[in-house]
Amino acid sequence: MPGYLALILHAHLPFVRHPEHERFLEESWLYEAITETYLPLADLIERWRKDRLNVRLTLTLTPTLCSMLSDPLLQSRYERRLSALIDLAEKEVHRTCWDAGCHRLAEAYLDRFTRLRARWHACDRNLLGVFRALQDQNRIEIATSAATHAVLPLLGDQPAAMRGQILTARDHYRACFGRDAVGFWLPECAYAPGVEEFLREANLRWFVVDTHGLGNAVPRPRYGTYAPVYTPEGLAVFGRDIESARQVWSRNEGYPGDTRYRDFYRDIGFDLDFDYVRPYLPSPDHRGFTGIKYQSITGGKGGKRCYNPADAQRAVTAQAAHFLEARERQLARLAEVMDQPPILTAPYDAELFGHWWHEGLAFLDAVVRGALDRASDFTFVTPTDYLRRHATHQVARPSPSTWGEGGHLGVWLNEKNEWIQPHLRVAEQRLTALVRRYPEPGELVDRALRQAARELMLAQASDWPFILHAGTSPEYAQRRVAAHLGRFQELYDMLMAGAVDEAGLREMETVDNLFPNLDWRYWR
Amino acid sequence: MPRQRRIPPILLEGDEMPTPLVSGPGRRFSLGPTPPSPALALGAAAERLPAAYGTRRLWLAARDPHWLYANWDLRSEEMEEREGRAVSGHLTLRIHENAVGPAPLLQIPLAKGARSWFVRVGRGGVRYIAELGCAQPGLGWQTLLISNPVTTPPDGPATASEREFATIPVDVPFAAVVEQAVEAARQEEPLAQALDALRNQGFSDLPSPKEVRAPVWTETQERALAEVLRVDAQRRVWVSSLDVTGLIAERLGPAAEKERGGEVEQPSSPTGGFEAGEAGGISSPSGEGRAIERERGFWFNVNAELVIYGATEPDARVTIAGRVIKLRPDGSFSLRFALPDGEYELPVVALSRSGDDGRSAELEFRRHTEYRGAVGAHPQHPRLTPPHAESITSAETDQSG
Repeated sequence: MPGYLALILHAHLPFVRHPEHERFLEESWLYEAITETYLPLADLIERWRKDRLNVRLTLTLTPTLCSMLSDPLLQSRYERRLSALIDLAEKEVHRTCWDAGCHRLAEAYLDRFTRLRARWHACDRNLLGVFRALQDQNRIEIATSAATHAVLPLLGDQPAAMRGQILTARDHYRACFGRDAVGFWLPECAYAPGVEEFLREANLRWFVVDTHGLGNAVPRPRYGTYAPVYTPEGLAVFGRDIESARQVWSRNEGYPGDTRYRDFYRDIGFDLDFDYVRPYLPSPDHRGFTGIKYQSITGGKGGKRCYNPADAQRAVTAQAAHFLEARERQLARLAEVMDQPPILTAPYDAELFGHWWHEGLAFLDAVVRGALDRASDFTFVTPTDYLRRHATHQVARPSPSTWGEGGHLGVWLNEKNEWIQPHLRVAEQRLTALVRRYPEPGELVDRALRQAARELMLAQASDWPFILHAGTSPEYAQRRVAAHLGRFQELYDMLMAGAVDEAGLREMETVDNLFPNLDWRYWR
Repeated sequence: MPRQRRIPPILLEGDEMPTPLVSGPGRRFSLGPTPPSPALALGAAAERLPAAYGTRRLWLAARDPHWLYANWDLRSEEMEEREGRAVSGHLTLRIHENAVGPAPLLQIPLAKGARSWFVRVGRGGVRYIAELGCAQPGLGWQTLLISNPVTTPPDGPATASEREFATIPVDVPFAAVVEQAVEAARQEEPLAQALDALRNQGFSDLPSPKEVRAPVWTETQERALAEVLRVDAQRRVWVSSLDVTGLIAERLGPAAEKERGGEVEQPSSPTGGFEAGEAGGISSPSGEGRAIERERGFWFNVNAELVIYGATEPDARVTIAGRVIKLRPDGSFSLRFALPDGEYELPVVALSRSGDDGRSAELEFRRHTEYRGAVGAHPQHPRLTPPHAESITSAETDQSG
């Protein structure tokens, strides 16, 4: 009995765009991800297409990420960054010319960055267009997600806020990809009953929950996570396969920690003389990642070994084979007890592949090619493909869950970040009040309402409480929440007073310029 | 032309680079190898937000199966006034099961001025409501606010096993499915016929009616699959973008090293029999990357670099040790090399564009260092830069990225 493997890569970044600064540290999240994940991933899928490999992949591109990828300012800044990287790599080729290991790496970086720039130019800076074309060629399925990646269960008692997040995402997807999305990525896999109403309104047909979200569904799903269920509203729910998740992430078996792999943190932006690297740093006054890294993880105490791509490739090959053998064993075991082909749903953060885990895309490639070479008894499908082939499923209500630590809302609602919530709840109520106050607004009020909805949604992003929890850039997260809520408050005051300051509004529109066609009526 | 010579394999990272505080693959929103900041007090930016709006709402959320979160929006004056009237001098949060009643499940005395509270209730799958108030002299309990009800997520799998199956064609819009179903119900027509009608309207991907029936399923199958699912339930894993670094740091840390007896850990096959206790260990306990233990105290770091700089005609071809280097638009150049101990020779050659004129320089260097104590084993200080001769500085200032 054949089975299916649904690989889902969730690509997301919060909206970070600071035209008021020439170089801004946190914008580097986007530039690093384009260089290390998004562009190489598009190339990888292209190669699969050219090699006529029968593989289908699901990619979630969140609306904030799509907005940034299509923003001319960020596109030109990325290009500048890539050119700077090429300059730096050229210098590194010279600097390392008598160290065989690092010199080869420097040359490889130079070659890689140069090819990426050619690719970037070839697609006319339009990476979104590349993914759109791949979807049109039936190579990938692109799913959408909440407009600014809000944790939807936290909006549970504010239906208008949830509706705004979902319908804005639906509209934005249409504008980006020229069709309707079928799948919806619940931000942070955070599910609670109530989300279905608006997903159904948007004609979105499936979403993914973490393992226990399906395992604890009511009534208990007969097939566990090995088949989707339908919610009573008719949405298909796929559960994360725990074994494939575990093999990548587990403490004892997790692949990215192999000591032969490239160390993410050992970057010349931190290691070399400040004056030398300064022109190439994400922010001129702070050390930061350049993307040029020479060391392997190595392990143990003492110095790091020079990164050896051939050794890393051997690790990739072994791990891909290990992953495939495990899937084959898993499916064989399931074949003994199931009466329909099981599906293994394997969602990961897209940025894991290439960016956080340098060899991740090579691993993905090796898994796909290995499965086809070995004639593994499973097919790579997207959830929509699967539902087309198998439309009959059990009806059950999933259990509230997330894929964060603890499996629930603890990451986004704890002592470090709970202060955000009361402000959001009030702003959500106020936006609905404003929308009801102005049923037929003039142009200026229309713009102000639209901007108010943008500011609210930007404050709702799951990323800010996440960063406050993780402590990676907490001051920035605080400033972002406060800035968006502050702008919302200004707009609220203007609209309540019936006097919109056009200059102030225009400034906000210039800075937070996403979702140009946002419809504030969704917040009624 | 320079004579052929053997260049020693040198001039790279001569001084041992410091080991970064974290190691391994990256994680979302990482900006560097320094450990994450400690818990942060609310910064100036967030303090600009109002403390309260006075909407008089009590918001309750189920954070997980065992914890609730409540916050309430009362203006400071009202809070103080209510606290002043309370017998105990503070407000009280009551948690009720199912509905508000005279006997709450929990009664929590709140700190003065508190605006939110995490409450441990300890039971999943239960409906709770919160109530904020206080006991007043002569009046007894006075309710101030009542929250929205919430239900904590269940602790484990459901016991209900009555199973209903449905067939929903993914390519038929929900609106059409609903319309057809409503029509079928109105005419008391079986759903299968309704789907047939849809198929006849051009929705060719619809499944055949026989597929609509629930699959046949035996008790033996039920038991066998339940066994698989039971094992899976013990392998809970909650890992998204947060946790890899912590896990890897732990693997690479001293404890892990000791545990492995110094061996490099290789991926191994799943053992199949996971202990239930291992489940929680997969996720990161705090989400904060763990710093590898390092010695602290006085430290000293010395690096030596070699800077070769010069200028020629902008269209000339310049090589250093046989490698072509890129000139700036004004014909100047500068290159840096790490300079570990040793003796080095570097030929530098400039050739005119036409190739009929050339100049060369044979540079020789020697570095010898004697260390006393641990030198160079600490992270490079962010502001540590090599000394600049004026001329070097002016050459470097053109290198904007």
